[in-house]
Amino acid sequence: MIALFGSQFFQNAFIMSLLLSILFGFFSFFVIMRKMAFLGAGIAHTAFGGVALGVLMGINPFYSSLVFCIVAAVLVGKLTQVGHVSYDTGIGIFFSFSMALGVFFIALKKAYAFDLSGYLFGNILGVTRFDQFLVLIVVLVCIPVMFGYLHKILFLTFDEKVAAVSGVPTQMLDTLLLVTLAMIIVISIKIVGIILVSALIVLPASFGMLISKDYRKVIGSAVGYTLVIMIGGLVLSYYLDLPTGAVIVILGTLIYFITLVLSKLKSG
Amino acid sequence: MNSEIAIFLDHVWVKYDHRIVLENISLKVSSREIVSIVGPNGGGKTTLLNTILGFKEPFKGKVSVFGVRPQDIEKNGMIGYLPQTSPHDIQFPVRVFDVVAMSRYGRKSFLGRLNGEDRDLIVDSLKKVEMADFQSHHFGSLSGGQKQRVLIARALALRPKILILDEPSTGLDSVAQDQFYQILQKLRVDEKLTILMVSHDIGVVSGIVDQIACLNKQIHFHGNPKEGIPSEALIEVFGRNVQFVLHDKNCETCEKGL
Repeated sequence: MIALFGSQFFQNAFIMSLLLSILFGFFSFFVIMRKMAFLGAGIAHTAFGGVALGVLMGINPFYSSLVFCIVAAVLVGKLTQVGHVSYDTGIGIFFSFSMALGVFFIALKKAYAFDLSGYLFGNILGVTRFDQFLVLIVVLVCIPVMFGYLHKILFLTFDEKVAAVSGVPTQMLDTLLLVTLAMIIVISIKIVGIILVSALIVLPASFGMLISKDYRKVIGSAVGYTLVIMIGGLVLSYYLDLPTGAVIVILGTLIYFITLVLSKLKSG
Repeated sequence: MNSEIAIFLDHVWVKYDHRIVLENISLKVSSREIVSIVGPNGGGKTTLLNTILGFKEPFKGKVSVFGVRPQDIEKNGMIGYLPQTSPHDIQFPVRVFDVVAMSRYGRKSFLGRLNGEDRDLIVDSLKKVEMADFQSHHFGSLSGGQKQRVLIARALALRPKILILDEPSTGLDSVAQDQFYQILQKLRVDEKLTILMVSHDIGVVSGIVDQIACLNKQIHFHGNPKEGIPSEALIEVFGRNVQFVLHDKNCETCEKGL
């Protein structure tokens, strides 16, 4: 174990997981309560187009996918407001368009040896000091947003129309929520990958809802749960020599179902 | 009674895409009145409320609430609103206190927290709707009538001048309905509130309101229901379902109108 913590790549991935757990635990609650679970998968897949664009243009795919996802998140929000379509429909449109663009960009860059599986399934060996620095910036931006607007976002999530009448800037917060979510997803892709990141959007709050009927405790236990599965997944994947993203998601799903069964036994 | 005008619509026209849903609506609601808008489903009742709340802009005509444009209302919190269908997930993990606290948080600045005055106001609002004993209950575990009362408390915690209610008694049994309307009448006096509510049930509301407006795209009658509603207006509004309305055992005023 000491050797494990001694390695630079593990330290990087560990610190990153620690920071990301707080964000996923918190935002998962609002995504689940707003029934936007598909959003996580949608934004993550949108990132594929951005990654491919970065590869094509020879720039860091992180920047291009970040821009791609934030723009897509804002456009999905606008589309639902202007086009009278649901989030699911809006996301479905952008998700498939961006994936198609990704395939198109990769086809244009024929000679490039592209590590597609690294982006699709995550690769903690690829986590650098620079990635850590980026996560830290995103955390520093997101945490004040979380605490500053917690109750307003709660009101917006509970009853959007009444929140608007009661002085909550609903459209601004809606966009802020989408943009923040896009940032968190993009920075997590290195660890868990495009395909599996949506699990971290859905599982934490679903677990929290099994634990309590008070939103504070739901969010708190969601953060704790994410910490356990991300750090647990990292360590296990190292010893079992398996892909980290897959181990995190399998571990998370198992814990969720065990807790579900236990809570049913307790209540029944 | 104070004759200040609370809500004023002046020749208002509203359309969705190319379909006109409200046609030349003029309506005055005086301060501290209880007014009900009645009409069939699809007659434009909710659209009218949305126009007063600033969610929908008319393409012709003017709307004002205490002299303010509806689009500016959200900034001063003078309207307490209870929407038609309860969109809340029964699993939503909030307590009754948290639900009422939402409207206090809505007006706080970034990072703002509840202070003692806010807490007093929240408990006081719950007392007014006889729900103070349920503060720490899970909101999802309440009955339909109890939920409606908590949502009224949430509106009251804004200290509004107007309450706007969209079909507030839908899904309530007759006991819960009576209790709900008694609370509304008490609030109107104690809190000096103007109350505007939408209902499809003319029989129930005509006994408790000062004014009634019968709406089906246009306003076909606007007046005191106790003085009788002309049967032509009811036929215009309710069409072939008018017999059902006229023979409602609760609607004495409908019979007088004939």
